[in-house]
Parts: sequence; structure tokens; C-alpha cells
Amino acid sequence: MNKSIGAFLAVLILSAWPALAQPDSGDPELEVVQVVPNFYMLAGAGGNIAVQTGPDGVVLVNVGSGKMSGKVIAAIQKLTPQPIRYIINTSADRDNVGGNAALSKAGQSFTQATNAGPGGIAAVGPATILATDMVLTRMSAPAGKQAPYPSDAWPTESFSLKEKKMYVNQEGIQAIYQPAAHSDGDVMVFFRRSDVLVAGDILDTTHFPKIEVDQGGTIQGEIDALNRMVEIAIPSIPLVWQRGGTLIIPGHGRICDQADLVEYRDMVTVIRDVVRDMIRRGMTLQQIQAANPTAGFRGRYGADSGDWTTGMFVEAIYRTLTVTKSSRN
Amino acid sequence: MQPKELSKAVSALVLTLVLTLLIGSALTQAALAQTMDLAGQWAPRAHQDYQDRGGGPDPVDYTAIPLNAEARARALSYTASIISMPERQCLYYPPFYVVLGPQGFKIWADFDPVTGTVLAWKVGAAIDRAVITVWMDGRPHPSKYAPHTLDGFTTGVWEGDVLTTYTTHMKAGYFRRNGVPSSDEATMTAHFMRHGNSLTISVHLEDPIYLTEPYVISRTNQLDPAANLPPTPAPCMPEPEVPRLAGGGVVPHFLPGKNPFVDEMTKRYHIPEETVMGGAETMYPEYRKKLKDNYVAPDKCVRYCCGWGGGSGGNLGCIVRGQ
Repeated sequence: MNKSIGAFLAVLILSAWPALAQPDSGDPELEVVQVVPNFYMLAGAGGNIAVQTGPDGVVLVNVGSGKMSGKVIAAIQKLTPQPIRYIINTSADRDNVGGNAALSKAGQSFTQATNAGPGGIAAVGPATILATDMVLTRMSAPAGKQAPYPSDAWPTESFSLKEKKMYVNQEGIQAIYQPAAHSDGDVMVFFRRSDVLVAGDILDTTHFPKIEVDQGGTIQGEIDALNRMVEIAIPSIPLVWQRGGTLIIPGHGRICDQADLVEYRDMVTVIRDVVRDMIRRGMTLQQIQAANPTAGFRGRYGADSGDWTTGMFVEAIYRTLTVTKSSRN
Repeated sequence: MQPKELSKAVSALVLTLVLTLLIGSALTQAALAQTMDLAGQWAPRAHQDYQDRGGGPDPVDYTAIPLNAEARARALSYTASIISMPERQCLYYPPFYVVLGPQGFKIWADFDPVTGTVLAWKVGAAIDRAVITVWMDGRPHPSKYAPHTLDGFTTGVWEGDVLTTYTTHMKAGYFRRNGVPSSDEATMTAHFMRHGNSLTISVHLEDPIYLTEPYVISRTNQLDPAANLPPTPAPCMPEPEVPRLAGGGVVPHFLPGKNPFVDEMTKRYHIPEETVMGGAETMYPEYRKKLKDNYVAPDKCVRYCCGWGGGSGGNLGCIVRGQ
């Protein structure tokens, strides 16, 4: 009898799994997807927002464009009563940092406490915003100049090391600097116990990768960053048929695993090879564009309009490959 | 409690119990009555597309697939060397490989232990395909932001004696083993039709990225209780067998216009290159009329003339000239 009841309860729990996996944000535009038990992805507020929860508070990777910050804060408060402690920006893109000021103010920093009473930390400052020095540089401006963002949106803790580590909510968190990929200030963030890797705009399942050449991005740096992520991510082997392995949150689009990452990395590498071959054959950028070097992938990742078109992607590859070629000669 | 009240309470309790039993029994009977039993081991019958499913297709043979120009471009860049990459060695084909591949499969049901209702049908794995779970409990498909998996996400309903399933959230893969791509936006509608000891699966594949119209494939398997088919695939551990393919520096592919196999079908079978490149038109019987006046059969059959197994296992007549 007890076994039957147990089995019945197991069935009920199993049946309820999808509901657990998709907590309701209360807003049709903002979707909350559970990644692992203490980890969520918020989609629809600009770039994807990664949310790690636990007894120490909330760690966010990216905060969206800022247009829906109120709804983002409300959605996070539905997930946990704990305050936002850290915001990590993977780059300086508005889609990722636009909500910095609002979400930081909604949180409480560990490190900007004004005093520590008998109860422990009395954290009163806004949540810490962590990013590379390059992100701070792009968001701020020298004294007397107009900055692109108000100062309360700037990173409060910046770094230029290869990696920044912390341990929050009983897990190690690595912000890994990846030079010259999408831009010169990218980090990917690896949550070691949750086994979730947050890729930022190095990975965008809705588009070809956005390589901001004017901000230090290169095609080789992009491929190197994707290869680094492929190395970090572990697939479900040897029991391939079981669901599992490292999950990856892209800058935009759906949750991925290592196989999806490999598919994307191979796509970018193949297109790089095709453009490089065309350059070697003496073709101009105009001729290369006309030859459609993204054929085979354009329908899935390309765009003819918007802020990142197929033409811009091909031009970015061309520009960084020809710069490399010139510097080699 | 007064005796009268106690009596009322007992009566109410008994009534509730009886109703619960009756409703439960009715539900159980309904659940059991609504399904054809698909459970069993279903062995393949290799008489359908035996070359594709067994020995494998020619490297550039896209005939009878409604692929578009994007798919064709990608297929022409494909080389099987890509499978040697450690990251790809253990990847499976998408769930529709159940009708593309050569293997049989085991089918079983997971039951609700109380009502006896089938919660899910399981279509067992092949060595390079995951177990397909067909959810029968009405659950919704996941968010568009949810991961795509090797088994996809499948729901099913009974339409008379036919189990109709719908699969989304598949990974990118291949419609044919020579590199004709399927995207992660592909979906599969399948009909499982049992007739005695035969099981026919008719699959309708749609892919907004790579197909111009649905790609429809049907396969029939035979009940074989002695097949000893495993429910799950074998474990897999990749090994870097080709040093230059380890580490992600090299992705094997053919550059545009450099596929060396592009005219192989034309040379070997005299099939025009335009036909070899496939497309929706090549799926239909009418297409033969377009070819017949210009087609000249080769002087002799040079490959698979008696089936890919050499004709030893069946009643396939060997191809003599022009057949």
C-alpha cells in the first residue's frame, strides 16, 4: 500500500515537472525558465538574464535592456526573498547592461556595508556590479565628458585579470575573460556546482555572432571563445541517452548544451574558412558578399534587417581576417 | 456524536468510497480500452530503402528529399570526416532516425500505478538514437527557450487505433546520412499503426529552415519477441583518433564547389546532376516522366546489384542490365 502511494506521488511529481520548470513571471513578455533547481533564465527583457539563487542572495549575469527592469525585479522577487547581491556584466551591450542601475539599487551589496552589527553583515549599498575594465571604460567617460550611461549603472568592481572568482550560495563562480571575441571586454561566467555556463553574446542562437570589430571583436577571438566553452562544457557521456551535462545560457535565444555549442562553433568556423578562402583568391568584400559565403546557415542565423545583418557579419570576418593578413605580411 | 449523526456520516463515507471505486474503475477501463497495445520488439524489414538504411546513401544523393537551396549548400559542404571530431563521436541522430535507420526497436509503456493509465509510451533506442518518450498525459510542450535534446519532446494522442505523436525540441541533425541537414526548428508528426504483427510508422517531417514541403517516410517493422533489442543504446566514450581534429582548430568540410563526389551518381548511374541535387519535384512519380526520354541506363550494374548484403538474405532479384 505504501509503495503504491509512493509510486502515485512520484507520478504526480513527474507530471508536475513542466510546471516546476516554467515558473510564471506574471508577464507574458517576460518568460522565466528554470535551468536547474536553483538557477533560472529570464528571457524577453533584452538579452537573457541568468539568475542564481540561494541563502546568500541572488547573483545575476546581465540585466536586460532596462526597459522592463520593474518586471524583472518582480519576477526575481517571486523566485526568492533574498536580495540581489551581485550583477555580472558579460559585455557593455545595452541589451545586457541597460538594467544595471535599477537592479543594482533593488539589491544589497556584500561589500559596501556601512557597518556590521551583531547580526552579521548590515548590507545597505546597492548590489555590486562586476565586469572587465573594458566594460567600465565603454560605459563611463573621462571627467567633463558625457558618459553613455549614468554613473550608477557603471561597474563598481572591475578587473583586468584572466579570471575573477567568488564563492556564493555554496558554489564556485568563475568570470572568465575572453579577449577579442564579441568585443574586447567579454566574460563567460561558469557556475561550477550548478554546472551552468553563461555565455553572454559570444553565443546567440538567434543570429550569427555579433562581432563588434570597432570594439575589439575578431572572428578568431570569437572562435577561440567558443572553443573555450566547448572545453569547459561536459556532455552526458558515456550514458549519452540520459539527459544531463553542462547547460549553457546564451546571450539571446534558447538554453543549450555542449552539442548545440559544437554546432554553433562549427558553423562559425566553416564560414570563417569560406571567407578566408575567398580572400586568398583575391576577392573583394563586395564580391564575397555577392558570393553568399554563409550559404547553408543563412536561413537559420541570418538577417537582412535589424541591428546585426548577415552582411555585417561577413564584413566583420573580412575586416578582421584582412587586418590579420596585413599584420602578418 | 449522536447515533443519527454517526449513521449519516458512515453513509456519506460509504457513498464516497463506492463512488470513488466506480469512477476509478470506469477511468481504468476507459484508459485500458482506448489504446492499441504497441508493446513488443519490432524488428526492421530492410526491404524499404535498403541502401539508405543499410550500406548508406551515395555521398551526394539528395534525390526524393524536398530540400531547399540552403540545405543543398550545406549538404555539399558535408564530409563524413566530421564524425571523427571527439565532440561529435557520441552524438545521436534525431528521433526521426527511427524510420531512417536500419535498426529495430523495443516499445513499452510506463503506467500510472493506481489507474493503469499509460503515462508514456517509450520507443527504445538504437545505437545512435535516443529513447523517444511519448507523453500521453496531456502535458504541454516546453518553452521555446527550453533546451533541445537528443530525444526531443514528444506528446501523443490516440486517433482510433492509430497513435499520433508530435515531436519538437529536437537537435539539429541530418535527414540523410550523407549530410542533408535538419535544423533544430524541425518538427515530426508520426503515426504508429499496428496491424497484427506488423507496425507501420508514417513520419511527416517539417523544417522551415531546410525543407520546402513536408518530407514523408513510412516504414514497417515486424513483431519479433526473440529480437533481444536493448531499450537503451550502448554507452559511448569519445577518443581523439585524428589529432588535428582534437581541440576545435579544424572542422572538416568541403569549400563551395569543391565536393569531389558531386558527379558520382551521374557517372555511376547516369542520373542527371539536376536530379541528384534533389528537391520536392524529385519526390513524386511524375518526375520520372521528365527523365524517361533522356535517360540511358548504364551498360551494367556496378554496385548493390543484389542488395547491399549481396542478395544472400532475401528474395531481391539481382539487377541485370537496365532493370
